[in-house]
Amino acid sequence: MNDLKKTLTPAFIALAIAFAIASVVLLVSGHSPLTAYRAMWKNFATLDGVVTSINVGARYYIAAIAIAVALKMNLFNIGTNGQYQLGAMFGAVVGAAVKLPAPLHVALTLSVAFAAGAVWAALVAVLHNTRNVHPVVAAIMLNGVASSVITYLMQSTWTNFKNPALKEYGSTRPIPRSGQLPVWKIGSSVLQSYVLLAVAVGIGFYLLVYRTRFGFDLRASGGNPGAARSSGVDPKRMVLITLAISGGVAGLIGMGIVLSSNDQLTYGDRFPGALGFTGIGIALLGRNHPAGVAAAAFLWAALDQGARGLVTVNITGEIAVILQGALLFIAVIVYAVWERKFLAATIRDAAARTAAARQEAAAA
Amino acid sequence: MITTLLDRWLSARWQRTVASFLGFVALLAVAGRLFSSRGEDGSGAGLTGSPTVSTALGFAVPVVLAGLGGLVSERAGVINIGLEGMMILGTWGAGFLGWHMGPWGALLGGLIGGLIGGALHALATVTFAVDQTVSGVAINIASLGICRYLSDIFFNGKGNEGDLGTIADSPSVANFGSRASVPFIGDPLQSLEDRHWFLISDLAGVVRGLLVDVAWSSVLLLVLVPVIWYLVWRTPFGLRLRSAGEKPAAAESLGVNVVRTKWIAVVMSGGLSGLGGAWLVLDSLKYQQGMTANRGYLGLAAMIFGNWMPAMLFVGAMLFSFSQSVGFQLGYESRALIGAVGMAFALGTIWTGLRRKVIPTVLMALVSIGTLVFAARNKAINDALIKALPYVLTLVVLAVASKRQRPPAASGVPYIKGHAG
Repeated sequence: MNDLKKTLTPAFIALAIAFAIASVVLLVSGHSPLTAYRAMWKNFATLDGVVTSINVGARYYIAAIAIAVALKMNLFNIGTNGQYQLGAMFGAVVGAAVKLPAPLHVALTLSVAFAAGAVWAALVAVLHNTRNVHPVVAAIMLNGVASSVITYLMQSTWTNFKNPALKEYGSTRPIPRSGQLPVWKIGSSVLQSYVLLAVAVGIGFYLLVYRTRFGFDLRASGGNPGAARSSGVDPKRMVLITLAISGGVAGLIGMGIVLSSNDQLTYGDRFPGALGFTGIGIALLGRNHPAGVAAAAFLWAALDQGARGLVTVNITGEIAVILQGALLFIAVIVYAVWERKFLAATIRDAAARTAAARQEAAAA
Repeated sequence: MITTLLDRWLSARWQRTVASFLGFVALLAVAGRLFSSRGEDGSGAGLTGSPTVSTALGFAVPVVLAGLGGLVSERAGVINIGLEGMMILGTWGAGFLGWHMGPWGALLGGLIGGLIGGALHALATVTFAVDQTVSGVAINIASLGICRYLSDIFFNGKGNEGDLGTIADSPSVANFGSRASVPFIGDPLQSLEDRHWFLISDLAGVVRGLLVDVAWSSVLLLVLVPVIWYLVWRTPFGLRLRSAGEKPAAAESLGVNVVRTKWIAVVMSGGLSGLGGAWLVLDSLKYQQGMTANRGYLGLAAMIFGNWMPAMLFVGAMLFSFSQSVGFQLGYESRALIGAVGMAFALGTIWTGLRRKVIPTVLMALVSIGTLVFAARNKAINDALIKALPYVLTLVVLAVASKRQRPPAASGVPYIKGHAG
């Protein structure tokens, strides 16, 4: 069996089971699954539906890659919610405050967002390394602190003003034209160049994890921490760097919203707040692989988009959330079982080969 | 005769417990005076006022229950990040059954909701040996969708006129009619508290907050702290449970059914967390989406703070909920609490200083001076900072306490029957 088939089969099994579960839920609540799925497909399979799914999927992709980097060494960066909001806020404030030529302006804003997320995530690493605080708990607490820090900073006049476009909502000042990421009009829909940033992040992730010394240490620390340590990898340094990278990438999650002219162009009260958790789900679904995560992010966004079409047939859009949740839960089970099946086969293979070799040696 | 009895009662641990309780109250009393935890006209509950403490005790309940859930599960070797999701399922179950059947129904519903979440986690982690953190996070994400979908079907537009459910909340749920008090002590304690005598009134306020006018749901659920301790440390089942979390292979070789033990522990863990959700529903008098507000994770933090032991877990939850409760008061209290933290660090500075540990002493002295100056200079604390206080305090406490901890040895290691070497 070739590798691609080996990777894709469990994903499709999980997808099939998840759809089966959602269908049962729909049937039990008195709806026809076919009607529901047709309505979802109809809302997705238009130019606007696909472009929106790509725009949103890019956001999800970056959110998931932030998680995946840390997961490569079995670290759970559950603090991306705080990290990306801080990144978006600082990015938006700096982006609105400076005047620079376009490419520099965008680069500066993105760097600020990256740095804000990285610093906040590094706090988790410092607490873990020096004081042995559980990283998941530290990150959750820092999420709580982050939202307070944001509320506090947004009270000051240099960040906050009453945005006429958003009426009563407080927000940062809008990003001027030179600081915006370009957008492309395709018919009546708008594709954000933020998508390219997502592609770059994906390629960067691939090169970093699979083609550098650091990536090797990263995977070694995740796979066998003891062996990694004896080969000279400093675990504390790995935790610090990995979490900083993860947080930095997380800092970019909201920048498509902040920097695209068809979106908010600000950070404010109406900024989405839970993209980090979505990212976790997508990273797990895509098995932390750059291509797998891309497929999962697009699927997730497509389900979101499809769900908006369910109103037309009087079905609650939340069935998409059930579908996403069931898919995630089933997928992690199927992946684990599938992996073990191949692990067992590999071990049996190796055992058989050893036995055969031993027999040969005995015969000779 | 009396002295031997006293000796037996005040064994070393008791003495330590009572002494630290009194020391804590004294610290708060001093801070409350130095940084005036009431308004100039005497308004506000004060740092040691019974309303502050009573609210703190209530806030602690769901965190304690989630923490107990985490404890039972991790003692059996299964990390449970999914407590938050199980609590969410518990709040929905409590909202549904509570709306139909009253307060007992709410407790039952919370229990059932949590049990279902626990069973999902057990299925994934024990039967299929999925990575435990991964499964927990999946449950947290899935539970949000499940509850919204169920709300849309069972709550949206249902209920009486003026009390209709929506996709985000249930129709109202009735709480228990009365509240519980230890008899005869309420009035004397209140008159003592109202005198504003240094230390004595403070102590009266704290004791009154803990023992008088407590919600029945809090009483019923806090009883589970000693119950779980007894179950896990004093019964044969508890021994099996802990052996499954320390060395499952050895346990299995002695005839313990490790898989079944873990299943029971994880399902029970979900039930406990779900009961915490039921407390929230009874307190808010309805189910609301997002009402758990990370309490599942806070329970995990309390469990780690308590070194996987129930009594200290309760203390950890109380520390968090106390600072949260302080934030709910008028605002003078927050300032005094920051002052109290500064004073605690000052004591820590002396403690490490006497032991000539240079770096910790310098660090503690800096933190101490910083917080004390901040508390002295700011009459009113910014709302945003007050909201951050419980989280910051938890981090500080964990940073101080986490070094000496010992989690169950096999916690987080998937166990496959007969596979362990």
